[in-house]
Amino acid sequence: MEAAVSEKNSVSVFLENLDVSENTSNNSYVSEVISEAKDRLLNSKLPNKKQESWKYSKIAPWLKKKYCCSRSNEDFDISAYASTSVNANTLVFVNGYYRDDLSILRDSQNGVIIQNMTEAVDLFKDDIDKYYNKAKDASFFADLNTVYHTNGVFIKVDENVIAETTVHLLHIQTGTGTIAQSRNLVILEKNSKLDILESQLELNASDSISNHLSEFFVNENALLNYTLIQKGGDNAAIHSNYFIQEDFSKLNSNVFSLQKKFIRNNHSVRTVGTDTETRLNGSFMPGANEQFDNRTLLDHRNVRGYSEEVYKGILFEKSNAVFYGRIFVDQKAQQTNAYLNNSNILMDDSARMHSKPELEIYADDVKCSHGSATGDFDTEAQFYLQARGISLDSARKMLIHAFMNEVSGKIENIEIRDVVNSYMNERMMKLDQ
Amino acid sequence: MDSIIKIKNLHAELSDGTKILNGVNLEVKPGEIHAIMGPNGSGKSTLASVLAGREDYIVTEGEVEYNGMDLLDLSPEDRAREGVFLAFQYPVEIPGVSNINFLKTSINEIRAYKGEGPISAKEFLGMVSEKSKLVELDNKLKNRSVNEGFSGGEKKRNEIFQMAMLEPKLAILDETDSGLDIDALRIVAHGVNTLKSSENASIVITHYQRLLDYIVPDIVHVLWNGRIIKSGPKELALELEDKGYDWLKKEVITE
Amino acid sequence: MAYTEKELAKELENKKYEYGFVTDVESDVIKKGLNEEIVRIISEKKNEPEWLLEWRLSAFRKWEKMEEPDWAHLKYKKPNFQDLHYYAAPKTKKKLDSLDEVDPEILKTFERLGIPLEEQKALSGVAVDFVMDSVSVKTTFSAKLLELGIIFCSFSEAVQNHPDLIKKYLGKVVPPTDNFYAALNSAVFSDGSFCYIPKGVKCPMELSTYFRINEANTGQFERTLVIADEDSYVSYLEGCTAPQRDENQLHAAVVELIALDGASIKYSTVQNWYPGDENGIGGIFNFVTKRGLCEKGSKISWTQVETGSAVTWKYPSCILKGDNSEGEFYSVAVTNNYQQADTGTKMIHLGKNTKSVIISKGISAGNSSNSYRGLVQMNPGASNSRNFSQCDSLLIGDQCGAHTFPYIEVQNKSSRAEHEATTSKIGEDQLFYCNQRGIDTEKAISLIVNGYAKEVLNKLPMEFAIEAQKLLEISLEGSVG
Repeated sequence: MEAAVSEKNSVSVFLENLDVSENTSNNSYVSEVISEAKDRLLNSKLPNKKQESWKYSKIAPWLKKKYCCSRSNEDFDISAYASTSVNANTLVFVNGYYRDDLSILRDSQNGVIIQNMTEAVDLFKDDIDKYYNKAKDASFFADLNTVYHTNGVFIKVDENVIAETTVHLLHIQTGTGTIAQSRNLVILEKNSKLDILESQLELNASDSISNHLSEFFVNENALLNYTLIQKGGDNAAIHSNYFIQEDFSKLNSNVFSLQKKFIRNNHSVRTVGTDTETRLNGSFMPGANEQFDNRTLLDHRNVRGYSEEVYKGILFEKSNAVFYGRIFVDQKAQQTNAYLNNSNILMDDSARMHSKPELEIYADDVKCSHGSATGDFDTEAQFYLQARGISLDSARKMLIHAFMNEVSGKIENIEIRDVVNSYMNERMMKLDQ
Repeated sequence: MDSIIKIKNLHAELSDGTKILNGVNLEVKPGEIHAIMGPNGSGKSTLASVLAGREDYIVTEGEVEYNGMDLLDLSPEDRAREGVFLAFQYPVEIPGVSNINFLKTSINEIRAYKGEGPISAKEFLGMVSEKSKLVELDNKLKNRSVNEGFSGGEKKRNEIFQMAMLEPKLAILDETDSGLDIDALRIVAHGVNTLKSSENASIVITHYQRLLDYIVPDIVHVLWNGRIIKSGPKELALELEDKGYDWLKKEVITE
Repeated sequence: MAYTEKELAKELENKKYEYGFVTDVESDVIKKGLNEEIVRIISEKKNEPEWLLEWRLSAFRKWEKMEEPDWAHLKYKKPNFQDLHYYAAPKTKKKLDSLDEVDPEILKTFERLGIPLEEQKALSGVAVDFVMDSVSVKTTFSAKLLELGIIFCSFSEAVQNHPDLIKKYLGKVVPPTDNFYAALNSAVFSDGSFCYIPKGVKCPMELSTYFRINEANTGQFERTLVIADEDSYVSYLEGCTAPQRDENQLHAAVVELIALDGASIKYSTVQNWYPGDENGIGGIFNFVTKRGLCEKGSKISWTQVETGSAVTWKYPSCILKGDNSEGEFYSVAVTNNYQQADTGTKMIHLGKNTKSVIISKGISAGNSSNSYRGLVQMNPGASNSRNFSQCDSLLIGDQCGAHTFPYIEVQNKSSRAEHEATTSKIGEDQLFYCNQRGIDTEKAISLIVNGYAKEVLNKLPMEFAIEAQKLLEISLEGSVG
């Protein structure tokens, strides 16, 4: 009992140390969502190692710090960030606040609505009531985001509309001890298509944390291509995506965790419709004293779903990575075809990899499989290359590139793929010396 | 002489209502080999499946008399036990179950059905070695799992080997020639011809005439749109090879 | 017409447990409940030395402070540990020298189980040490084994006759406080088997133990200790069947294996405790801790065929401490009706060049739940080590669940852990193919399931393999059509 009290206190202490104001809303539904989240938060425990979902990732030090939410008016040259080279409508958020002055809105298109979340709550009340908070779960960080997020974007693609320009959400974090929390809602109506690029970058930030959360609704026959790039300095990123798929919809999600002190991605897909296609891919490359934790859930709820998941990691000296991939197949989800693979290469003995692929299956007419392989990279292939006159060093580099490019190669948009590859190369050069 | 099988006005459809067989009539007597030819989608494999009792098809009309019994009333295993053998177009793989164990189970189940005791190990092995020579089946294949990792030709030879072991009264060969090279085709045909007797009969379903160079049929039937639209002597097959099926279709339409 | 799967599933439900009968033997039962006094009584009844009593008491005190674990994928009503008997021994007046002296009731029971002891003794050369409830009734072949220096006896006898070995190894692989059930067992274990193979000796026969639970509401707390000294070899068989009971009975055994340098232990289990009826009433709770320690160049191989128990919680593990040691785990777990199993293994790689193989085949039918849970850990010192895991699940019917929860932790770069898992059902086309060859659906399923589990069944000693096949058939009879 004593332990429980002190745990509960630890949430209060964390919230007291959080210099951020609570959200309020004129929309009665939203304000109810906020107050429920607040209640849950106060009755919850801080994520800790005793919880199965936080067993391998040390979040505790990050929850002992004080954070404030600081609006910055600094002027930057955002073209310095390679991801802005992609032809896109780029929405810039600094510390979770939307910066109109930095954003580049290249094209506007009928049927593609891009709106500041704060305004969208009033302007698109019907959509908000229908979709807001309907995909997310009740975890600590999701509730924290609900109560304390600052800003975000509302995107809606109307029925039968193909969004021609990629939407790029660019998060920049700056300052000391800051917390950045955006809250986004993306709706793809029937037969629509949208490409989203999200990049998380930093500018002289320290002792800071981000906790972005997005909900995506992919309705009948719609297609969503989503790419996330996580890059930057010595800070922590909690990142949550919740996707809901309706009949015959398609989702391609590609996640690249390249640099940060601490990354925890909670990405989950629930296929409520029939005949869905889902591809979840990811690459992670933690360096010294970095810890990356990718957690995915593929929740098959209806018949004839197809899913394919590939996560690959290269772990450098003194790094630590976790991959948790859960495939759940509901009793109703007959004829599901689900496949998951996680392979990891350890570059040094001081690296630590924890891999947990899980299958939880309640339907009988299904084909589900997963595979996981962790170890040194293919020494036979390395020797083969050497035998053809290629130096050990080049052979290694070639093989690492080949290993990682499998995931980036799945990105359809060539510009985005190029940006990802250049970020990965840069990262590799720094780490593999 | 009494017929082995007598199919009268057989209609069958898929569970979604798609009609496949629309009134097939066919009578096969002991000692006969009947060939059923026809273009893709004419219902050839469906006929084979319905006779063997596959559940995917619903018989809506007609009857099938087999050896004086109502064939459609029997479960698939009882049809097999009564001597109906289907050589599958796509033989199924059963991992972990050896070919030999599979066959022994099959033979003993059939014997038990007839009120006979299980086959002795000696007799069984003698039979295996005799019959496997017939189709030149590699010894190694006998101990491998049923059809697992077999080539297309090996699977088909394995079907004929099983047929030889089970000594059926009525063998239905469903596209047994598809995917076979000329050597394998000859081996398979040799097996079928050797097994022929005045007591049994075969229905050979094929798309091409070439199998019929090796297995000479007494009667050739053309199946189209779920019905037999023409029957004739073995020369009919050659004519079909020459002219295709279109002239027949026209004939039917103009009728 | 061929069966539909639903019909099959229904028929399976109605398959009765064949081994459900009660042996009428007068029992010596201590009153219900657990406290220090009970622990003292058990120790006193067994005439144990003071140090062992202290060992039990310290385990008991630790257990009192522990909580029953709840991380497994199992839902059941937790047993009331104060409502159980912790000691029951068949009342035998004197030590027995030959089978003739064994209670004829017990011998009859074994005949009904299809394991006639005399036949086994005469024909198969298996030395049988069977445990009726908690006390070892009879050990055969002891004399012959003794010639080779092999000790094979009940645990209680070993405490009296080989106290040094017991004192040296007891609790060394599974410490008394390892987990809730191991602590409970350490406090109240009643009897079990003990085996020691001297240096360089290859045990010429399979050593075998049969366990049964007999007394209603009796906790069963077996303790097995197998020590294979340097360069020795032993194959040990453990088989269980239990009579039908309505109350859930608890079984919390501990098995410790020690393979010293160059030794090899093969430990095979066929488990067929009463699984409960088709409505999920009754059945055994099976919470077992099995673990082996491998020294340099040694090998431990676990093979299990699990068809019984209402709830199974079991992870036979290997600690690959010595360089070049090997661990293997081969498992078939069948669940039907309302059975639940959460079973798997742990392979802890500590030494260099260590190897492990995990082959797990789960089969679920009815309303059951079948989970594989396995840990593969490559520690920093375990360079050049290898693991391969293959975990397959087969589903029969759409009311059951099959789950795979692997934990893979790699902490050095020269080691490699590979894991593969698949889930599938018996194909309609496979069933039809068999039907077309005259094999009915039930037989076809048994054929296909045995084929599916073959990789594991092949690892069992011959006579056990046949029994195991029979068990698979019985467990799944009617399940498919």
